[in-house]
Amino acid sequence: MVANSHKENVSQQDQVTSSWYRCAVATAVLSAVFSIVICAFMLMNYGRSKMVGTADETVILDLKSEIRNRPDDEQLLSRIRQFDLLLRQQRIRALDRARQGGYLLLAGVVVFIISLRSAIASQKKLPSPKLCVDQLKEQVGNAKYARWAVTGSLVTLALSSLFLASRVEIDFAKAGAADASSYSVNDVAKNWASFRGPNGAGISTHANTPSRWDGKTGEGILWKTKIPLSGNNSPVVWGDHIFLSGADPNNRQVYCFDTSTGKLLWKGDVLSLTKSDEEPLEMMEETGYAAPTVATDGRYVCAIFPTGDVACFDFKGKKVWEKNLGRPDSAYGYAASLAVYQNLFLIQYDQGGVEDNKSELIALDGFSGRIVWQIKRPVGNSWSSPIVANTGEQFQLITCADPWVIAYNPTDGAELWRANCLTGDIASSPIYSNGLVFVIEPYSKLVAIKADGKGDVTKTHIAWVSEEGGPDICSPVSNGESIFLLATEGLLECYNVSDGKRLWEKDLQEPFMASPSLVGNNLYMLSEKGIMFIADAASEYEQSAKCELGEKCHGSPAFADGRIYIRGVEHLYCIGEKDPASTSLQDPGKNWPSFRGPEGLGVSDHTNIPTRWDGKTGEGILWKTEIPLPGNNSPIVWNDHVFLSGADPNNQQVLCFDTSTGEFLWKGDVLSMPKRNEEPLEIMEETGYAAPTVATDGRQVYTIFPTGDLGSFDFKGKKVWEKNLGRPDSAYGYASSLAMYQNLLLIQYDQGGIEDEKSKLIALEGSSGRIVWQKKRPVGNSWSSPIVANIREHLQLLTCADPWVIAYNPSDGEEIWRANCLSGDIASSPIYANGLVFVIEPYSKLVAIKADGKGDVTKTHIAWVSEEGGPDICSPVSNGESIFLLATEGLLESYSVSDGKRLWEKDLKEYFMASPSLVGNNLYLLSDKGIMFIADVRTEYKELAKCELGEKCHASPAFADGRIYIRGLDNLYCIGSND
Amino acid sequence: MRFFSNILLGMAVSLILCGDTSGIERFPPPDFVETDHFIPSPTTPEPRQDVYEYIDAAVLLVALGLASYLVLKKRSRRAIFALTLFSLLYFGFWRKGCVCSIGATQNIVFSIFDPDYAVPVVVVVFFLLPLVFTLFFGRAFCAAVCPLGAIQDMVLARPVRVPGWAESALRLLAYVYLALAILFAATGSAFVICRYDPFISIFRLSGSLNILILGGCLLLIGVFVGRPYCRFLCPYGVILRQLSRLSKWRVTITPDECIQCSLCEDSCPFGAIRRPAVQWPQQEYHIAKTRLTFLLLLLPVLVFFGGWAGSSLKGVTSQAHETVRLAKQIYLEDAGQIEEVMDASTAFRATGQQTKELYEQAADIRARFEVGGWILGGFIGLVIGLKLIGLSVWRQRTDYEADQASCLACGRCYKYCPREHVRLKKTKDGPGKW
Amino acid sequence: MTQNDKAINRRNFLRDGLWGGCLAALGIVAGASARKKRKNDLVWQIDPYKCIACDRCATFCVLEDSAVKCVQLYAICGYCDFCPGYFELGATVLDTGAENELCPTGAIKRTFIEEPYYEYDIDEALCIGCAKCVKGCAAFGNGSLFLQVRHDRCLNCNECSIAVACPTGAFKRVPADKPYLLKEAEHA
Repeated sequence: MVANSHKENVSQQDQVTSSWYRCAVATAVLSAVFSIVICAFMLMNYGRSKMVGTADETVILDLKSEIRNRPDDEQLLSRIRQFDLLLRQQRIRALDRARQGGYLLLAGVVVFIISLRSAIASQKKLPSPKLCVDQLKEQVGNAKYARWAVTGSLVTLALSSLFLASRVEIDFAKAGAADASSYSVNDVAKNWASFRGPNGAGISTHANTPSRWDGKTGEGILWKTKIPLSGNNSPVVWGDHIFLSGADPNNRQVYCFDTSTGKLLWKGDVLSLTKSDEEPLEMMEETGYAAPTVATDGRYVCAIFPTGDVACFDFKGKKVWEKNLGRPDSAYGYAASLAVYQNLFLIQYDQGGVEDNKSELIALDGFSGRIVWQIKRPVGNSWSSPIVANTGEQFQLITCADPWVIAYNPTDGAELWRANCLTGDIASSPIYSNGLVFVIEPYSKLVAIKADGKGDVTKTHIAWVSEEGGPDICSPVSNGESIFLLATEGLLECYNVSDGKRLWEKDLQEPFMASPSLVGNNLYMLSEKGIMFIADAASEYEQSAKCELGEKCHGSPAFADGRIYIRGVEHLYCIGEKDPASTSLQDPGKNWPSFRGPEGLGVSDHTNIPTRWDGKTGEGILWKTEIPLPGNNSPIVWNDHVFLSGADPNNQQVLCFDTSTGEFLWKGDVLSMPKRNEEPLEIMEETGYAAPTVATDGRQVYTIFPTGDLGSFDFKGKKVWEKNLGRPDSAYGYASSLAMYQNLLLIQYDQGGIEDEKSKLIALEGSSGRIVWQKKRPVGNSWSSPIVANIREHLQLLTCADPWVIAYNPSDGEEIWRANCLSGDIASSPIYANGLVFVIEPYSKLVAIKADGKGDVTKTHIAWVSEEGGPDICSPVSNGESIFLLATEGLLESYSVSDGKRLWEKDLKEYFMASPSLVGNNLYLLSDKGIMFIADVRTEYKELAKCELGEKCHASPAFADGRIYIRGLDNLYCIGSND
Repeated sequence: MRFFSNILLGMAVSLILCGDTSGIERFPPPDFVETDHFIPSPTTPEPRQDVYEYIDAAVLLVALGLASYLVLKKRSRRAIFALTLFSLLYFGFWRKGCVCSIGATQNIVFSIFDPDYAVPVVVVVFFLLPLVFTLFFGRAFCAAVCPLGAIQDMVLARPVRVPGWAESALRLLAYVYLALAILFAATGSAFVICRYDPFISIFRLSGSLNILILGGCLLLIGVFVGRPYCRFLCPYGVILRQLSRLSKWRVTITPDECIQCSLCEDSCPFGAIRRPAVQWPQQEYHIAKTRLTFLLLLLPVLVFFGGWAGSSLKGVTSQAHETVRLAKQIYLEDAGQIEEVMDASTAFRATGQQTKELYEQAADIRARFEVGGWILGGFIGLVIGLKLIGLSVWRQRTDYEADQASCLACGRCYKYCPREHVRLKKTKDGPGKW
Repeated sequence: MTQNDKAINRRNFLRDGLWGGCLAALGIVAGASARKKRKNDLVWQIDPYKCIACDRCATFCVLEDSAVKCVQLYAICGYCDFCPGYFELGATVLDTGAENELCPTGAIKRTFIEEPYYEYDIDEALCIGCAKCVKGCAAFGNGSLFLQVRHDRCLNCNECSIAVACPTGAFKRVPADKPYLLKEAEHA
């Protein structure tokens, strides 16, 4: 039966060879080919319109920019026009092709399918049910397989989700919190970000403000810099930037100065975007062309000029935006300074008469210049600056003009309260002091308004009014109990805050333009002649000092940590003591700022280095402090701070000690910021979790850890920034120390094999952690530290790794020369001595390279090679004539610098991890056991002393004025005589 | 004017940096003195009339009704095929395949979870009608109305049988797809069903290359495997499956009684025909019982771990939401881990909104994804558990039947049944006899 | 036998119960979504105040020729002689030469009205929505040129693929009876 049915089928099939079938197949094949061709064609078309199209557009853009340079090049012109035409035609054609192609393809496919179906239909088999033998078996089997299949997919689902879920994601909750505390708009209070500082109150919280200086002798004056264009505005300060603006009838500029050196970092030109029909602005000389003070939110600095031009720059001097608000109609010229609130710059744009209804309050977003909000003000023109006062529960933007004093909500410009109490030309700014807002009407009165009102509070909230006159320019200042008014003619008055009774007055017999400021109990009043009156004003006027600057001053001074910045008519002055932060950059030479000291040569030029001590008796040991966390890195020294880092698998810290007492000052935690989910780092014990030595530029201390985490702290232990460079792939764990060049932090980030191309050289800006430049390096992982060498007045950043020794320009990372001469695991750092760079390949050779080459100098500039082996860890040191190599096993060798001949060798029979250092003619060799060999090595090895510390030492010592700092396994030792 | 151009030249820099792209009105409107030129206003061509939307809905209703009739009463494959062709042309190529019932699912979910989004009536209709019809007449929608089904049905030329185990494993994809689609729609992140609709760009004859390729491949597969999208991917199909299990009337292979001729066996390209199942022998029965109890106990475990897995995926799933992506970008930029900035972040900074706020938003969106993840994962766990249970219980079957869930009501099996031929003969020359 | 019947009855009862349940559920869904149902459809549109004039509208539309076009709101336009939306920055000669035009497809027509006013119209057949002119006009002009979804072209996809790519979320669904978001003239 079954057989029969089969036969039938077969015979059926044989019959089906009708011509119909054949032609169906033929059409099917044809249409298939057709569709495929069309398809390919469309793909091509698509590709062209996508890639070539864009390419052409760039071409035409280039051409267009070219035509700008030579506008009357007819040939170029016609080329552009033809090309443009061509492009447009192409675009249109591509569109048409796509459309037609679509239809054709569809048609082709339809035909194909029809013919295919009919072909198959024409030879359809009759149903041939296969009667299965064991139905039950099959059923059970199917169910089983299905179950397994489902289980399988379950497992795959589980695994894949497990894999995906294991990725570390950013914790936004934490990120949000961090953002609030990060270096940002919230630091406004800490800096002098706008006119009269925080809250516009003219009060500085810094206790260490200088109180004595003299312009003639230059005493107490840190620096003095010429200001290109004049202006009656005051400096503002943020971090290590000072901003102010200057202008003349034709130019408007914003300036940025460096706080430590007074160098003009950049100046930004502000164009005048006024309408073409306006005639140039005429300003009266008292006001000047740049009366309004600039303001900064910590990211951008914003300046406004009496022309109505507003411009915003970032801290690098790049113009972010500029716009024109329309020239203000102001009787004496626009003079109101900017206020800042979070990301908003607030402009009190009062103009015209009261009835003109032209006055406005404008809030601009710093990033974009977008007008965030803008409201009309029912007042006439004024010259007083708005303040953003923190009244405890809220921020109030307080403005005063004729006739209204109005407080707004700085975020949206909603009006909080208003009081009608002023008339005339209001120039002095309001201030806020415990619950009261004080405003002044010139020559007439001082008004105190309670700041907790709503709506029109003229009747209800005016606490008191004192009718005994008031200054016309200078703003008041208050310490909470009394408020001080300084008239232009020099009459200083003191009123009681609570009831407005006049407590005392004092005539200083000097004209004043600048507003008085308050530091602690001391009033600082800067006269127009540039004389600063400093007086304790708690109970009555007690003058404590009178400092002459010797230059006319119109702007109010700015106060920062230990400094006063005063703008004279021509110069900007910085007044304050030389503190480590500022002296720093001039002389790293005195200090031991990074691994192996200045320039990383292991040479100290101090003569008074101790030569005798004993760890057992404690003789010659000044102090000894326990180090909280272990690490194989060396201490570094800056003035009275010693820094080093320590880490274990879970913690990474920078540690700061006091040089005189050894007191443990602070420790800074560097968080681990892994990018992906990385299992905790495993590092072999010889390297340890904190092998790289920290570095400092005198302002901040920088550290890196084998996890790729970087951190920076200021000298007080406050974290400035931290970031993660991605975990380095290093065979024995990352160990290269940091190098410093001016404000650049240089990191030799060698990893992986040579072919991996993962190695980099990275330069970060010290203050921000921003990557200034980075260069790929064609080398494998290495453990040697880079050095910045001053070779014949040319700075070179020297790096050695397998196989290249490369010298870079430290400021921009441009490669200067490279030599292919090393292989293997390079751990010892390069050094240089009279024009030669020395690098070591462990157990194999010492190479001297002439440093004046360009490009690949392998063939040309290798002075000599000594194949007599070389140390694997310790870096060499040289006194200019001979170079000294110290092998880990204690073999000390001396080679002649000039020809590489071996002069002598000496086996010290000790283990050495620390690199040798040279002081004068004495070589200091610190053994693994903590024994310091001190020897004169001019002609041969003459041992002078052998001092035991009694603790194992892995790190190289640091040398400072009369001291040696040695890191033992557990303790930090300071060796020297206490005098 | 030269003066002007110079200024503009000078401001080139600020053009690049200036985030202010909405613009402020710098120049006053013209006052024409010589000519009395009137200031025109821009043309605003109206979108498609709502009327047409309602027509679509009506067409859908009619098509569904007709399909049900053809499937259950007329039992004519030809007619069904014709209707399929029509749907393909109307809903597919004419209406450009949007909005379709499959995508409408997301709009419904979105409107339930997002207070601001109100879903148009037509979309509701497109979502509901097929479901209701399925409750009554089985998956007539899939058979002849759905354009996606139609285009696959067209290309299906030489069906090969997909082994049962593969079928039941692949079908899980659809459930996962549905769950994800709902999660993303509910969180207002994305309409993934629309984004990865494989055939829409074919209906439009234009679209992104990737989707075109995807659609092409699916169609190519569809030549041999019957309706791959409907069976293994379609999220809407998942709902239809479950409903059609309960449908009042459904496809029966034979018009009256099954004579067990087994002719229809391989007539179904979708592997939806079930053989008669013999009685379960004793020893098998015991094993099956223990297995079943084990699986029943396993079910809650699966649900829980599914939920747990789903919730722990929040970090990944929440990436679908633009706010989270933006927050991440901003974070990485601020952390200095990436140098280049994106338009999105620049635009964000231009708004002057505090990054803190953004992070907070991102945080609670992610929290929502966590909750959603629990539900999603739990659902998938449940599905898999039930699937396993379903595969371990034994349903006795005496006749050849179309599987309630899987049958797409295409009517291919009808003319394989000898009883059907009898019926047709009756209907044809029935009256003539007397 | 009776046993069997019972079982069958029970099953049927269960099925009917479920069936009713599902119907009810569908009803609820319908109700839930119809709670705030709107009569007319939703369409996609660009908020010109959020748009940053990137070129994604030109490239991401599912249509070969994007449905997003530039719109000239004449009420705001300053009819400048030097139109920063029409001319390249620093174009020294104010003619219609390709080297001076900003628009890559020459879709803007410049017609003289009277000194010193020119009118600028968009030829939508040519416009590709690249927003070059929008940038220029917003930066230096009145911002009268901006992008809009043209509904005679838009397919109104359920999920607009430009909206997915839009960096600022300027794309939004708007009721079909108010399908355009034109700028408001600020001039009083």
